[in-house]
Amino acid sequence: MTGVLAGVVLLVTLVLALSTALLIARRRLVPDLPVAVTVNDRAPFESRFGTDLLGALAAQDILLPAACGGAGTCGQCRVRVRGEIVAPMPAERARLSRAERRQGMHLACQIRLRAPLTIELPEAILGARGFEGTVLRTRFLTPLIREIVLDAPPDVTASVKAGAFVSLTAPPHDLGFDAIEVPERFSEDWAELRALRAIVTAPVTRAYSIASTPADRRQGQLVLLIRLALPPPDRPRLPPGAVSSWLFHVKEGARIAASGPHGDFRAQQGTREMVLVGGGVGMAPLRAIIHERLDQGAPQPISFWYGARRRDDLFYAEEFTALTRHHPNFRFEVALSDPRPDDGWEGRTGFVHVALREGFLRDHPEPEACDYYLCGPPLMIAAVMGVLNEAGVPPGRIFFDDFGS
Amino acid sequence: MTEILFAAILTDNLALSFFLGICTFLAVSQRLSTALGLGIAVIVVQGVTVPVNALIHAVLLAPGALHWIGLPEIDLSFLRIIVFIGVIAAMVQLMELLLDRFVPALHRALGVFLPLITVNCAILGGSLFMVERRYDPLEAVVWGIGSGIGWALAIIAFAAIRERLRYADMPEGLRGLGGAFIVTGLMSLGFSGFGGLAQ
Repeated sequence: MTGVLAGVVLLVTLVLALSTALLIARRRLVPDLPVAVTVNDRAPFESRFGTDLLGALAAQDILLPAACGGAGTCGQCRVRVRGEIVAPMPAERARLSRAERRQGMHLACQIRLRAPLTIELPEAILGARGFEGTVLRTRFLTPLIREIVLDAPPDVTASVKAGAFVSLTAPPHDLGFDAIEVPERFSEDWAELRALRAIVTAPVTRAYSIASTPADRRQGQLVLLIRLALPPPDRPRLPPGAVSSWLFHVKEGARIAASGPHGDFRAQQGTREMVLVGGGVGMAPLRAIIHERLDQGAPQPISFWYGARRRDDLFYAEEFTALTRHHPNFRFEVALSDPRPDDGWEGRTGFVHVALREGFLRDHPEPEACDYYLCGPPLMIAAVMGVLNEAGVPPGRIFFDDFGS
Repeated sequence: MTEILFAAILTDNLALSFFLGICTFLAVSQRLSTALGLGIAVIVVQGVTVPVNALIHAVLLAPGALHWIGLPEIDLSFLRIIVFIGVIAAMVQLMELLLDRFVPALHRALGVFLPLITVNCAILGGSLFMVERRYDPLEAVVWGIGSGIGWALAIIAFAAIRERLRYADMPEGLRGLGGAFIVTGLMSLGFSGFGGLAQ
């Protein structure tokens, strides 16, 4: 009996002693202290010891783009930390180049506040803010791309530059794809997708480029192109895209939590010839840039090369054809890689990078003197970079907005 | 004393002679820098827990240890596993706090394997061997630090070899874990050679 009692007393005392020691250690190592953060040369604000910088900035309404939600995988929440260089986190090593790390670049989601910190952010990001947009109208452009027009606060649309993007947040949801209203002409493409289901238990944020023309922006409208992210063919069991699935369900009048505008994909000023190459929803920032430059009366030749698979995947074509009529310096070329016999397609066929090489680079006297803007699937960007490199275009003349699909 | 240190580091190497803590050994040996960090963490945890456990064992658990409060007939040594694990868990949590505070990059790189040191059999094995071999507290200090160094030495050498091996032209099926097992075996064979030195 004394043995059992002694054992119990011993264990209880030991556990209590160890817990007390840990509590004391925690108090000393993770104190609940204020930490001052200074952004650029503004007045510092206070945050708590141990919070991550991304969250601390968000609490101050400084919204850095973070498509991954702070997991360290998207590499968008870049900040420059002034002062001594801190050892980079593994995620930062993967996302930032050696040169960037030497300049003190960090990912805000990876920094825990422990001491007063001074960071530098582009002034443009400080202009971004959180807002709520109302869905004005939606329509299907292709079987898997939906256009959503958002009514946004005027100060947001006024600060949008062509090429920028907004982050949209989807609330937790559980939606079956059988509830999506699909126009009759695409019902065949959708037959197989009806069984899919998107289940999300926490808010998710993704970035979408703004396709608005200057006229759209003056009316306070953000035009967004949403491509439904489907599981890759070799892994059909993966869930469909969390935010895109939700955006395919939203109806007119719905309110969407957003922040922006973000991003530094921009048209260069000046009179260099502009060549824009896009595929899929890569259309969005390029459309904004083309309209903005033509609207500003840019004098230089501008050509837009767009790659799609078949006639159904091509959208806004009439709009760009109309532009070529009003602006003699604008040229619009489409290449279909896999046209159907009943598409009645008589234009270029094959991949867009081949079309660009055959139809532009080969006969151009000075391909290295143009500015190139690429936006589309990573494979397309890689292929176009290849032909540009062959044509002797220096990397500094190529601007691209690379998003996952 | 030197024999104990020598045995702890080389002949009785926990990883390569007893194959203890092999899960972490295989999982955290992809990069030399991470392995080095984990190695140091294990040395510290082992260097603290073994002496602390030795003290607890000598003063509280061993048969007759409680005679100082007048209970000489009580033997609590059957409680040693739960007590040792408790001490190890507390130490690892402290280690986690320290790393998160002072070496956050290493803390991130070790990820879940840091808390898993709690149930790393090399750590518990170190304490249990200490009891089994009846080391006195001073010897326990040497054994604790030594066995930690031995395990760290093994994982650091292993990680260095694996970093090299990434560039080796190995048959398809042996790349990755297959090759790692072969290397572990060869290293173990090498370490058994130290047995001859000890005689």
